[in-house]
Amino acid sequence: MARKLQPDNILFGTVILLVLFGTLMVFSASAVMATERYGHSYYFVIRQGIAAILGLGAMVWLMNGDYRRLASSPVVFPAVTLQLMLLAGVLLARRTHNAHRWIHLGMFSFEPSEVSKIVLVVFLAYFLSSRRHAVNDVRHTLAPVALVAATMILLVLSEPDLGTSLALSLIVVTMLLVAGLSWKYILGPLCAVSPILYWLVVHVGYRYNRLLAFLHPDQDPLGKGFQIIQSTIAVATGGLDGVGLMNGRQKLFFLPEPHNDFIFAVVSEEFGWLGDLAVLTLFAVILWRGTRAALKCQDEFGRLLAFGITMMLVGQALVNISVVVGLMPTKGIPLPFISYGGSSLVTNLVATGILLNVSQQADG
Amino acid sequence: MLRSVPTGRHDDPVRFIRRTLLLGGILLLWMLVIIGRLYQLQIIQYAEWLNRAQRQQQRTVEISAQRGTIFDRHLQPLAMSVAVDSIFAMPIQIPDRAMVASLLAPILGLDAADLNGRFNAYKTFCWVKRKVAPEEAARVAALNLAGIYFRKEMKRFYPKGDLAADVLGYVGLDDKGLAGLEYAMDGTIQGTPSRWLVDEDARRQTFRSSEWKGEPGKNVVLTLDENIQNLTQEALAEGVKKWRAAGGAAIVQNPSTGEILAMASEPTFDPNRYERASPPERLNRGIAWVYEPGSTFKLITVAAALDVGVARPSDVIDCQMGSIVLAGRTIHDHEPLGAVTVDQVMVHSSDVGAVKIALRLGEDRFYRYIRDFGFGSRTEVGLPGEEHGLLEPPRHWSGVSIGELAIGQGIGVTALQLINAYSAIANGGVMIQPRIVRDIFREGTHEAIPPARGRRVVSEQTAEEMKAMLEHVVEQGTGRTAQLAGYTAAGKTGTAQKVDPSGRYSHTHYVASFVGMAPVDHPAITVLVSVDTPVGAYYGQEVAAPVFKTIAEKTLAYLNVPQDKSAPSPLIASSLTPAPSCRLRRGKAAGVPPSSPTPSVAEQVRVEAVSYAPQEPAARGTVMLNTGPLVVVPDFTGRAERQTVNECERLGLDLNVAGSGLAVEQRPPAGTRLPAGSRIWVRFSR
Repeated sequence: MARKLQPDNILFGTVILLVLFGTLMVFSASAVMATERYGHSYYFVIRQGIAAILGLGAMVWLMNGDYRRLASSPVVFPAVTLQLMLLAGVLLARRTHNAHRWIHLGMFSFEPSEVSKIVLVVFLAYFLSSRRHAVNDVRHTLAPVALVAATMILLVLSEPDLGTSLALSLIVVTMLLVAGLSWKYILGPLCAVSPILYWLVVHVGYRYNRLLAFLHPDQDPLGKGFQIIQSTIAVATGGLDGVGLMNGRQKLFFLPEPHNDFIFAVVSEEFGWLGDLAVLTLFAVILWRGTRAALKCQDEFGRLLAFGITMMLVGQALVNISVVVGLMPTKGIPLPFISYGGSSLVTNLVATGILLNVSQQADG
Repeated sequence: MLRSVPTGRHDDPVRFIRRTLLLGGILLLWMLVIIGRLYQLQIIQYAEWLNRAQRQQQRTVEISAQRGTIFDRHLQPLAMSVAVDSIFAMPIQIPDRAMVASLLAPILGLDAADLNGRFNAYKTFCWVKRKVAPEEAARVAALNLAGIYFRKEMKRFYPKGDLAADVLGYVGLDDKGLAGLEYAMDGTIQGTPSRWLVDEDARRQTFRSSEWKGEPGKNVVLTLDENIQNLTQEALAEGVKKWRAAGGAAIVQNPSTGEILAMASEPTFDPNRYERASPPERLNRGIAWVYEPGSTFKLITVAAALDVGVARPSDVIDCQMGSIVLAGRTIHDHEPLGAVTVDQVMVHSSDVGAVKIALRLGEDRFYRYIRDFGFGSRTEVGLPGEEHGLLEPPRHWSGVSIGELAIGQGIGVTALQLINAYSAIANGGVMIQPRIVRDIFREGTHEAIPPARGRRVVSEQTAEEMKAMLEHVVEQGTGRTAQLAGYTAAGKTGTAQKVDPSGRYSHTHYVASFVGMAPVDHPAITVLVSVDTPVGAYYGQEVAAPVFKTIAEKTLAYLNVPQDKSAPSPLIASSLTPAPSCRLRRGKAAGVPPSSPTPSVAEQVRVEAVSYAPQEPAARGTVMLNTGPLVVVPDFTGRAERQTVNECERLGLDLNVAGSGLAVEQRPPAGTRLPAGSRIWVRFSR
């Protein structure tokens, strides 16, 4: 590729905007809490900033490379293997926050489950494109896909991290669909999986409680319904144009994890309906540019990659926001680019780098 | 080769495009749903959620306004508010609650287990002890405990102790008036509390607040005169003690204005420690005690008869040698009389005579006069708990009722009703509504007090004839023990048997009363004394009249009323002059100018609203002084609050009080020479 490619400036700009906005919001949401917990208000925002710089560097590097180089067995299979090992390893690590999610490396800790999303997307894009003529071949296509995906999902689920495992499932299903999976393989397993899902939800105490709380938050406003009520209060008090940056009240220990899973509640409170509209528009732009890249792309790997990444970014965002506004029961899914969390941010920026690369190559 | 694969052939990107657009469309639709949901929450339901948010994010803290001061008629403070410390805890901030409880309990005289229990029960806020003594606060502050805080609260302080306690009432811990004028006038005295709107986080930590300034309470000036109140209380207490009585009431009223100069009730209490007072002590017998007036009520019987013209003072009534049968009941006199004048009926307090006079009146006319004299309804003097008394209308009367009423039985009155009836006679037949509040002001703005209205009850002639009869009572009759040194007096005794629990008249329980006025020509004061269940004697002339004499003599001298009777014995004269008091020398004062003519018999009497500068700080400091320009500050250590207050008042020092109990610290120190009117600070503690 000798010729100079035109980068997708719209997508690039959108993501930069989201990252900058996200860093600002992490500060706004965490300053008071950080001061109380760590003595200085910049504790979280500095970490987020470092992750953003690392992630943006990776994004630019990947954007200017060639995604096709990823489409090779020596890249994909070791990556999948390593990822599975990390996920398995994390289960043996010590528990924090009542879960095995983090691997601690000195000052930093990282969350393998976040990284698993992009690994899964690359793996599916590669494997499905290589099997593009026999997608519905159960033995040679669907079974290997199911094996890898199921292992990954179950490992994440046992951390336990239901949110990420659902995101992974979403990625698998949607990518299989666009790769040409017959509907019968979608509806069949769906019927088969539903009881298992039901069991998982109803019989694991805290998930069932979360679900009940979602349906009837006011029955236990200080207990199980607390998160959803506090989050709804935050969102609603934003009104049309919000109370202004840094002026939100609900982040003052009313909201659980205001800088993380519930950061959109802080955004809503401080910037109101118009601010929310802006954030959703940015994600809509990602959806548009990502879909456009997927549709324009000439090769199957690039198409699936672009589509998978788009789904991963936008799907996660919508699930996160739906939880915050009380449309879905509470999960543990961060809002891409905005929620605090280095692993998530770097993963999403790496994914975006790849998407940008597909996009500019498709245009070129 | 590719085409040979039979299934899942990726023939063209059409399916990919279709499915990509389908899933992309689903996401887009999902976004629209979210936007709709956000619109619902943020725009449509905004107000109700905001309300809910404020409920958890904000808290209104009310800070009571400083209560107004209650002054006597010469602006001597009777009830005032001083700032003291209250201690509260935020238990979640206390690392070791049990330890903190065990540290605080001995200092504050609390139970450690109980305090620890409260810490555990109220995580975010609980009072440890309110309105503590300064040295308790200092010792707690010295411990420097996490989660223990102080707040200034206003404590009500009654510098004169039990003076007029039953009138003033008292104030609870939360600065609300609970009894007496403090209760009745709470809305006026309390002021508008300041409101702090406090923003809080989920841990109840305050991070921002806004304040709405309230208004301090209004000051109330009473018609009471501290000195008259004091001497009245002392005289009543002495009488009650002497006769080991259950209690008693004494009232001094200015008959021409209706103003109450003193209202005493025994037993009484110290409103600074009202919580220790028993219900009988808290009862204001002046208004909340209903008793049979007995012979004092003959005033109404005779006045009514004279007024309608069915009797004249010189008419002769046959007292039938001391007994009369009325509807089967025999009424006896304590001293058998034959045919005597109406005047003598009063002088000897003949029951038979009074009954016969009442019979001349007839039930309806008698009842109307009783009502006109104010019985059976509240005087609306403005004190809480005032009783109506008991008065049945004639349709409920039995045949004997008119006879009973004639001699003050079968009717329940309050002391205030009774003295007000006598005041109407003293005032030439015009009854004025009694009052106890003279002025209400705040920062120089005075509230309009409607002028007292008078109402003619009997003709001036009747009133004058009654006064003459009452004077005869004192000069020749049952009221001789009420004769005053230097002053003419008129009045009536009363000895009423109390009704015992079985409903019969008791032979051991009496209410001994004397109601009178002096000087007779232009009465400056009316005085009522009623003693409940004296032991050893029960006649009004024996028990109540001497108390009347003490009160009336001292009060008239204090008010500088010119004597109208010749040659008081030197012994009495000296006892008349009250101990030199700074207030007396002020010259101003005497609420009742001695020469003030009895207000006309006009149907309505207007009493001028008072107008003077409140506080009069300059006058207070300097005019009081009579020992020279400098005052030597005494050593107050170990003295009680009241003693200290009196001493400072005598010296003309402006006393600032902290704490309560005995004096432990003062500034400036004893021996310092200060100009009169200087401020002195004394700290008390128990």
